[in-house]
Amino acid sequence: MNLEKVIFGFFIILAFTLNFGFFVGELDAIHQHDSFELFAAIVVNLIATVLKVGDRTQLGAVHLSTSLVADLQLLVAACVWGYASFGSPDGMTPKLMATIVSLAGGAMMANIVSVVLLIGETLTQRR
Amino acid sequence: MYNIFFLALRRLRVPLITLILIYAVSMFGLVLMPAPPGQPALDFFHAFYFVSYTATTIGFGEIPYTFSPGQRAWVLVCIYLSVIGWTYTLGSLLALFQDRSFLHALRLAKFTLKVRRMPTGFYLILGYGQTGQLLARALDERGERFVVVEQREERVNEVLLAGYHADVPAIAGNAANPELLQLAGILHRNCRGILAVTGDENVNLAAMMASHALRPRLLSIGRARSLHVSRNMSSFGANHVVNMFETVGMEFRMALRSPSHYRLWQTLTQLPGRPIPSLFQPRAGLWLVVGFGRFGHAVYEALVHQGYAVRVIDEESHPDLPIGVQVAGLGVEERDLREAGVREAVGLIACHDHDINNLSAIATAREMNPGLMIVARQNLAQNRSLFTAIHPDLTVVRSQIVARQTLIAMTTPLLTQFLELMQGYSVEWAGKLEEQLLGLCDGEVPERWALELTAQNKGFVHAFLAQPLPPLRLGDLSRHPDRREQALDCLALLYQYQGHDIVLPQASQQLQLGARILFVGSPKARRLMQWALESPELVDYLRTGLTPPRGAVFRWLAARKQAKPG
Repeated sequence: MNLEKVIFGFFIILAFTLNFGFFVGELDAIHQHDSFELFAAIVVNLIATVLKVGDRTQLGAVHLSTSLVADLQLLVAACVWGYASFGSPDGMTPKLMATIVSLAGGAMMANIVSVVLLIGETLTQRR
Repeated sequence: MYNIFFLALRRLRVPLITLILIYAVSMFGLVLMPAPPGQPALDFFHAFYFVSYTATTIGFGEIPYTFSPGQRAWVLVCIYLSVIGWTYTLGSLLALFQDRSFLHALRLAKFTLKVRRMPTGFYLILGYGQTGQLLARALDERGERFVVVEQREERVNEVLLAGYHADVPAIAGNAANPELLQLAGILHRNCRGILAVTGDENVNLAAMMASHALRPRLLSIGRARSLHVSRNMSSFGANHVVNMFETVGMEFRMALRSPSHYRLWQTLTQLPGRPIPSLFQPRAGLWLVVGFGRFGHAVYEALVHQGYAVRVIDEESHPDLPIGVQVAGLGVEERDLREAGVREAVGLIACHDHDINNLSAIATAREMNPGLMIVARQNLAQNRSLFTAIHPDLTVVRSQIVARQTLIAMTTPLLTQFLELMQGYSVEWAGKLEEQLLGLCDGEVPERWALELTAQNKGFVHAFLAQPLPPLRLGDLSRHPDRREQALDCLALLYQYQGHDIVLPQASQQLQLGARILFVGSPKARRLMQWALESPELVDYLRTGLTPPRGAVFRWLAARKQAKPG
């Protein structure tokens, strides 16, 4: 067992599961989506990105790009949340929440690709 | 550069993750801590804002409201955590930039980028020793670009301090490594040639092999010391091999046979801008060769070939020498020199590969026989002042010989051909030509350049194809393009057309498309000539003395004027 692989896999899966946890629920139901979960998803996604940096293989490059996509979408979602709390005249509205959740949904797709890559990589390994 | 960025990120992986975690923990705690009565708990946005300015020690104070004791307790934790986090990250970053391997990677990336962006033709100089420096200087004076690969780091730094006109990419590394040669631009389309002049002939051999395999038609010039390596080098590809000791023997034979030819040869091959060496006229009689290495062998053979009596002074015994020729000893003491017969000798050649021994031998011998002709071998460029002070009749400098030969091979094959052709002419002829060359550049070594009369040149296309009359003559080329009456300081040495060579062609020589001419003259003459050949108007002026009308209206007017006779 390789500790590096464990940590790597852990963060990728965790990024995906946290993202999923935030995403589940009615798209525009404000009370079904928690800001803490989005925060955790962003942090774990950032860590996963740093872990993926520096791998020169083709697979490593795709890994990194999926992570960058997820980061981008989640950060935009957080920005929208910030706008809803302090910028928008009506505060958080179902419409804004729908935007946030769909952005997080997009990030989740990127995370799924990342997980699929991880599984694929594991399956092709002979040892 | 791209790879460097990721390399840095990879090395900073742990500090970066630590920083992310510290931010996350701090923000999370701040959001959870109970707010003072009447206020909402901090949200993520404000928590991020607060941590950002606290962690970077900007410290705006407690925003958006005065904190509760619980929040303050957590802020204390945040402050210490974040200071540790930033110190660690910055420390790692600084350590990274101190790291030798990282710095090397950074330098390599910069070097590769510079080479890739070389806008004009350039040469690849392998080895930046004495020879490499001379070559670099000569190329720089000609306005050529070059790239330097050198084994030793401190010499690479000398490139930066040398103050060349153009930016010179230089890298420390083994020139025998094909990967490095590729980074240094051997496959670059602007690469004109590779000059392998490192001190190690096997490295030179490897570099030439690489050049032959990767770019078979590239000009490659290699320096060899021993016969088998020089044969090995010339066994593949179209390249030039400079064997210093062979060259010395050849030059010396020429010097003994005809001093005028030798001086002419020196004038045409020296680095431009240096003073033309004075005439070296060896006398017949007994010559002493001090030191019998490869250099000594070369001059010994030249002397014997010329029929001079020779005595050799060397420590090691050489059974191949005839009996009575060798005197055992270093040649620096009176005893050795007296035994060799220094009093009745006419000349002494100091051939040690150690400068101080050579100087010592010369000084001792001069005391015993003041009328002695002295030929000195100088090994290190730094000892130049010593050799100038002792003033031998001829100083042979290793690095200069190699640099000169390399420049000949680089400049043009015409020069090599002319040097061969001139051997067939008389001593008087050589002396007369030498007088002419002396006048060209006020006693300085003139520049050599070849002119190819091809359709690539605008002026020639005009003069040969568009308007072949009146015929362009050689004399027209060597006139000032502004004032036709004034001749340029240059001389045509060789005119070559369809395999025929005309040595010292006449000014009335009619030029043909496809011919090649070798010129010698001042740098200014070269510039003016090349400038004139870029424009059809100037070529017309040179051959007719008239300035043709420019623009459609003036041409039309001129045509009308011509059509109306009288």
